[in-house]
Amino acid sequence: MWKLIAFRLLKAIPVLLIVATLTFFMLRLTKGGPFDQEKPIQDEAIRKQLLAHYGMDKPLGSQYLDFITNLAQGDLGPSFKHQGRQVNEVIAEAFPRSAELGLWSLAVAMALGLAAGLIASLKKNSFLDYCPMALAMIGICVPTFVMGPLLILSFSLELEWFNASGWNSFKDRILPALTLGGAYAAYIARLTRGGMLEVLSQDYIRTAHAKGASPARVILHHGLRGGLLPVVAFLGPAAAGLLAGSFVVETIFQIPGLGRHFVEAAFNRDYTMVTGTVLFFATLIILFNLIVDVVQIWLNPRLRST
Amino acid sequence: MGGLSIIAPWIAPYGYETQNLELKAVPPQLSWNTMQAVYGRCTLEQARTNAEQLGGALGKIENAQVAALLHGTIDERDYGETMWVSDWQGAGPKRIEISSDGFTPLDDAGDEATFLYLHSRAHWLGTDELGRDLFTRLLYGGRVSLMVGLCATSVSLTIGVLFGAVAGYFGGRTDDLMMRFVDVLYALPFTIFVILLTVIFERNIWNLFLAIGAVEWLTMSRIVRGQVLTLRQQEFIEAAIALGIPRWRIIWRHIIPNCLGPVIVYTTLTIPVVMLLEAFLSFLGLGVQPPMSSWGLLIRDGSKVLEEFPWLMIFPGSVLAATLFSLNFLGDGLRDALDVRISKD
Amino acid sequence: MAILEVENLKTWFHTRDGVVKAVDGISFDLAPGKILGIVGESGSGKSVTVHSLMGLVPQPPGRIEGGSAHFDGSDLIRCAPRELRAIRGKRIAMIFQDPMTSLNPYLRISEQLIEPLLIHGLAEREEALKKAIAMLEKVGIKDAAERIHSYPHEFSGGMRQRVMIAMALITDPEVLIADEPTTALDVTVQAQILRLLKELQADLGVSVIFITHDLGVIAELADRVVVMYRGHIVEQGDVLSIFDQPQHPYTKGLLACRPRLESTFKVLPTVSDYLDEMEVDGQVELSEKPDAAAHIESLQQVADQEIDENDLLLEVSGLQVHFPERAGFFSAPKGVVKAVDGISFTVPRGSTLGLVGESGCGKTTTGRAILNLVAPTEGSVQFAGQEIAGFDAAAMLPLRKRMQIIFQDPYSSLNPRLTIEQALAEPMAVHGIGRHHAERRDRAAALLDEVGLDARFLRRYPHEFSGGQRQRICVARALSLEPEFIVCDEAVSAMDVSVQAQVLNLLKELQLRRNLTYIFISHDLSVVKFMADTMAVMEGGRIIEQGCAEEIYANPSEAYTRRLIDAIPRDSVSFIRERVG
Repeated sequence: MWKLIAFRLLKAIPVLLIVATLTFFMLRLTKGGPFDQEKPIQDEAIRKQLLAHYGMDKPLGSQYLDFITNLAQGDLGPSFKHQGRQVNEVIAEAFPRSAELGLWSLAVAMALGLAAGLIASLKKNSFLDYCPMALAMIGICVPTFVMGPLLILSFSLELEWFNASGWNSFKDRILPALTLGGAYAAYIARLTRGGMLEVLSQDYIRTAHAKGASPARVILHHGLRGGLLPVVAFLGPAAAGLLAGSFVVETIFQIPGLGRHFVEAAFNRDYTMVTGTVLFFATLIILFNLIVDVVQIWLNPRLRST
Repeated sequence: MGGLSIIAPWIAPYGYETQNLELKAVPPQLSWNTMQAVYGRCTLEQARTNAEQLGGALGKIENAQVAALLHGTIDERDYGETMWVSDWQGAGPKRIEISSDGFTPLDDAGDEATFLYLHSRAHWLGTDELGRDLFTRLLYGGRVSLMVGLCATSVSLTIGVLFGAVAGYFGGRTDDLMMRFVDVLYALPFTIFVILLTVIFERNIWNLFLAIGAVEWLTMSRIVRGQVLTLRQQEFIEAAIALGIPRWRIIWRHIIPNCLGPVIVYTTLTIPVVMLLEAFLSFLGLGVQPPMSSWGLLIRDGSKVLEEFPWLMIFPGSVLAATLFSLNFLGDGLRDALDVRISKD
Repeated sequence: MAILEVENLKTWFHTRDGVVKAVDGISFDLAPGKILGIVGESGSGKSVTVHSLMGLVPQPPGRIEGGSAHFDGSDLIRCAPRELRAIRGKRIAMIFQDPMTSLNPYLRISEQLIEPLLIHGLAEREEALKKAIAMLEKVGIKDAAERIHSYPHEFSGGMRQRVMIAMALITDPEVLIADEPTTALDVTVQAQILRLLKELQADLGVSVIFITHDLGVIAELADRVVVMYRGHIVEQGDVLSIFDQPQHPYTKGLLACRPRLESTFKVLPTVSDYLDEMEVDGQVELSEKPDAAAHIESLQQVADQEIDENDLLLEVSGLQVHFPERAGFFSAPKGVVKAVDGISFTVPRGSTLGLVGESGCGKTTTGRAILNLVAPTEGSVQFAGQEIAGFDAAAMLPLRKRMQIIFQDPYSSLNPRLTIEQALAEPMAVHGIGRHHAERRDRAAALLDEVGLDARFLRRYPHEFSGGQRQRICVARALSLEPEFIVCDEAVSAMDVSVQAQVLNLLKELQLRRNLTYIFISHDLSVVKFMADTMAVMEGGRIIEQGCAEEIYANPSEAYTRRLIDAIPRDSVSFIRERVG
């Protein structure tokens, strides 16, 4: 197990390096630099000074070398747009908000999704199956950027229960988490139902019944593990999805999180900021996938021997 | 239910052809309930051209009354308003002015007046802030969204099927290597890459297809590979070899038709995913650029004025959701139907 | 005094296509300390019967329409779920057909073994574990104390079935229900499991309901026999009387249609030789054909074919097939698996060579290597005097017309998307048989007729046929190229005995008519003996014994062959008489 984790972490390094290199060159090869937007800096001297400050007057090769050297030390460089601030600082400040949003959403998704999926699978082909599954279908088909405004419209503007934007009190967490988690709750519900139905039709479930185990025991002790495997496997992609969703949700609810910084940086060609956040996201996702794999192996002994 | 919504996107191209022309000339209009007339200031020449393009005549005096009556009665607010009408007491186009004692003809020499045109059709879904008919915008945007859906899906289909088929067919080390590559790609934050791609390259619609298609092929390739691998082990393939049936014929008659089911199903399920991604990008302002419209863009615009004009957000949202729903429904249905057949076999 | 009395049990399935009366009013008793065998073919309702007793019928679509099953004062059919659960697994235990899927793959063996004890409050964890280890030893698993902490996938099929048995018997139940517990196992493993069950039964005095499709197993094991057909019991009685003097025509047919080591039939009788099915007022009435006895008599008269031992169609010498074995992606091949490791044999024209052995012995690979479906690593294959080993597709093409293969699984050996006509006509078109479409269609129709199917079936798709019909279609497809030589790879293994008899007869008939040469691959020695003139016994990729089939059965020279033959359940009346005393 430890060997596997170590091996996977080692493998992540070249992947991250490729990501870093790709982003670096893709950004530099395009027309228009960070200082060409909106109000181009006319004064050639100031411009030169600026470029020198960010090391952009050097040839591309040595820029790249600097970038990689700094990266190896965990330094993502200064931000172009956030004057006088390091990318590391910006990420350190914004990430906790995004992470909190992500965790709340994941909690919503898991709680709603698992409950709905379990109920649906146990009451197959009844009202309690069709109802949550119809809801899940709606959840999948109504994108976050529609769901978010709709929730704002009904709960903030009409009913005035929540604030339409901001990130201050606990109440401010509810709508964004619902928006972001809702779609994933739907996916999880469908996967849970499918997984449980598959498992509950297995021969070993019949064996468990034949032993005289109570229905609850059969489901919890024998069914759940296998039934939840697809859900666990889905958590990897879900994490990536939550991340992407956070761009939207942070925009809609005006939460100063990392997602918004990324989108803004992408617009403004804030090279260091874009590269930094991309790398940060990539690391996060690789880590998350690793965790998911470890959990899967822990859940499924058949994976252990191979 | 699914079928009905499926037709909706089909109506779009028709509606777009006839209505887009109006759209070009339609100047701002804010109100939505009583909106019957559309007007903007122009010279007589322009008014004539506009009228020709619209396939109708200049406004008539009754229209002017209607236009003036937009807020119930003709009141002080309308006084001083000038507009072009076609039939002032039997004369040709004439500039008129609304004043306290009704309509007064003006000298044609004045340079500009309001061009009045009465819509033959009501705005079913209202218009946006800039006076553009929402229904038209929706249909027009639907074309873009569906086109992205189809084109990007075909890109992903092509790459995915080729990649998966090659990996599955050659098997062994080639397969291992290719699938490891896919595994690595799976681990990357791809939405972010699409964003990067769209930011870096020019934001034209073809790049959007490519960017999305290039990302969505991974699962397809896995499915195709799995299918080819299982098929290769089926005894009817071996029987075909034993019967001396040539390789190309085995691929064409025995492997491809049996792969088709899952591929069709997955394609149907990819289209909504891709459309969602496009809408997502457009929502962030990274996809289709105005004045082009797409559902994502409409939702973005609508969500900005949510409080004042909720319909601008609700209609595009519902249309997108309904389309996604029917595509998903179709995909699920196809999957169930084909699964039954596969399991029966 | 019976320990379990089943009366007029009815279990119906309400499906979209109508009501399926899977079990339709059956009654039987289980005597204490005895083994009751329920025998029947697939779809006879035997499994549904015991599932009904255990409350394991999925409802819906299943529904128990009536009847009772009395066990120690409670009616298993009617009692409350809680009451049934208290009996299930504690006093009535069950083992299932497929040991590969019947154990929970996510839980350790120890967890699963002690579960019945914990559920029924019979022991604390510590004590339960001790008991489980003792039980594992009892069912013949060595190092039980260590292996108990393994997961199911670390055990072989036979071992898992032992675990299942241990799990069932750990609560010391009064009744054990065994639902085809040996069907999925190799014949030698089956023999071990049967012996184990017999020993444990005698040891613990448990009463057993044993379900099987194999009359041989019944003969080995049962005290009393219930014969089921289409949801009804057609006959029940002592094992001896059933085997010695079967009354019902179905039982007679079932007994006769099995190829047996000591029988001398050249053509197998089939159930339909005995049984007449008449539909009267929506009820199927079963009666015996009046001329059955005479007909069966005539079957024994069929003459055998003359074989010229020197006219060799196929000569295989030193054939080897190796597969590389790889540990990981980048690592070099760890070694090779010698699936076939240097075998030699000859097959005279018009004769049948039987290849027998247990799963994994290399018999299937041999068949495929002869046809160049897998590339032989070394050795020579001479077909009609021509060396063909290692031929590529182009070189093989003219030979494909002459050598064909029939596979085990008729479900996967037909392309689901081609009609029967397309499946039959395609090879003809490729090889230029038949000048045009219509001619090929006529030939396809003639082929169907030859394998005993209606020519109307040409337009249909494979999924509309039963397994036996599909196998006939596969035979027709192989025949479409008019080959001289056919490899039958476990061609009847997946079938019910009555269907198996029909297909075996068909293959024999075709051989006589068309002077075909067969290699008949099977794990079932009695089937091979029926079909083969000469036979070869394979173990671990080598032929350990070959020669005239009759002689090998009479005097096996190798211990392994001896074991294989001994593993076949004995079913002679004299044996049963001796066994039941």
